[in-house]
Amino acid sequence: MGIEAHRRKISNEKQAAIIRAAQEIFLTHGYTRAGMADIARDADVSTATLYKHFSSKEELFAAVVKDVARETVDYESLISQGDTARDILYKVARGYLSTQFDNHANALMRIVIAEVPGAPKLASEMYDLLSTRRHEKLRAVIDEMVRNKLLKPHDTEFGVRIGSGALKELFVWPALFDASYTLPPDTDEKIHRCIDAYLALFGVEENS
Amino acid sequence: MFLTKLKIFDVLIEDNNLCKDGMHSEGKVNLGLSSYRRSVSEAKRKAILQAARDHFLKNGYSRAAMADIARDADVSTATLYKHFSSKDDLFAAIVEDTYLRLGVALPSDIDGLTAREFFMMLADAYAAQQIEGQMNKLFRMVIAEVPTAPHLAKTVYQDGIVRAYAYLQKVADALVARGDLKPHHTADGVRHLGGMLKEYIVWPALFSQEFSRTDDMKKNLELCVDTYLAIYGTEVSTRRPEKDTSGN
Repeated sequence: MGIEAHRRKISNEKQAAIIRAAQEIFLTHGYTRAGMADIARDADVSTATLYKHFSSKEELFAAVVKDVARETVDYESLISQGDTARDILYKVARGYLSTQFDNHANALMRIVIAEVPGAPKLASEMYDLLSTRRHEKLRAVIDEMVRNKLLKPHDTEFGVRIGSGALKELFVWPALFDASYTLPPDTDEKIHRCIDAYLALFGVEENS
Repeated sequence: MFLTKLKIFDVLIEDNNLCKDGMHSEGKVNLGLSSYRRSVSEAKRKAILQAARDHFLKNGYSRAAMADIARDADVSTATLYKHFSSKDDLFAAIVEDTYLRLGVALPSDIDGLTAREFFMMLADAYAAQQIEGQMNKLFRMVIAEVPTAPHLAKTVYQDGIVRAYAYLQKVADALVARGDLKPHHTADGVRHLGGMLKEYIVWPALFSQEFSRTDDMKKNLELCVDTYLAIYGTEVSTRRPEKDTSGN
């Protein structure tokens, strides 16, 4: 490994440590009360290094959100040979909820919503990441399903929007009002009723 | 058909006692001393709610002070605390009051209305509550206070949102009984509709102070209602029901 590559590796590691520490601090203290010095300390870097990576708290927070929104789920890889429309939609819904609950997207949303008056740009960026761009990814899956004749051709932009709207209503909306909210025991039944609704609208005969 | 006679805001009124703020007591003329006192008390409660609403919307939850609210409502702080024992209580009452206005904006029963007409009225009233009625802003405020006032958010959720859904579910059940909707899981069904509407009315507003009614709002709300009816409706969802004359 050359010196240059070594330096880049160290720098990437530091950046990842900063994002991890920042996420912790934001989740514990909220946006306003999170201190850059505390984040640097927890990430084990100097504040100079911290500011070299992220010039402002707003920029750092955006990076944390991006990290969460990047999602552990790669939706397109969810489709496997022989899956029914229901199988795929179920996996997509579970992936969506995993980002919200396991990756703290619910908590970050609450933080951003609280900061709308003080940090409007941050809020619109987050909305863009967690709604608009996420919908694009979901739409790619639905379009693929249409190509594979698992769903009828339809306005997939609208389809994704109402599908995620229904999921959010059932699971994310209550979580915004209650930090201790977890997925209910009948989550699967609720997801399947959303899928029933989607297939009633856009399913092909075998699925509906 | 008893169910079509269902007074659809019963659920909202139940155990809630609309008379508290005088909406249903105006017709009473029997003004004994005790009812005089009650009407003064109702007037004060109304003034407090109005002043508190203005304060919360202007200053946010944390910075709104009970003493300022009392002053603007022209009551003593003692009177204020007699009506509302805490700031939490007061805020929850504002949300409840806003939801009651939504109930009042809707027809008192579904008799003579098609399912589509009812849900379109609902969508319009909901949009008006969230946008012009500033409920989106109040919601943002409650969500911001979740870490510091967790109880408040839970109360708002239970008293506002859960109760509104109980009412909607009752309407959906009545529409199933009338044949306008297919038999289905109505509790989730109304949430599917709510989720669709929120995509256009609520979610973008939670992340932006600048959100305002868009030109295509009406069209989008119609699309949501028609999509809901495409899932759960029957061929009679848009056909005008005959007036119920059975006298039940």
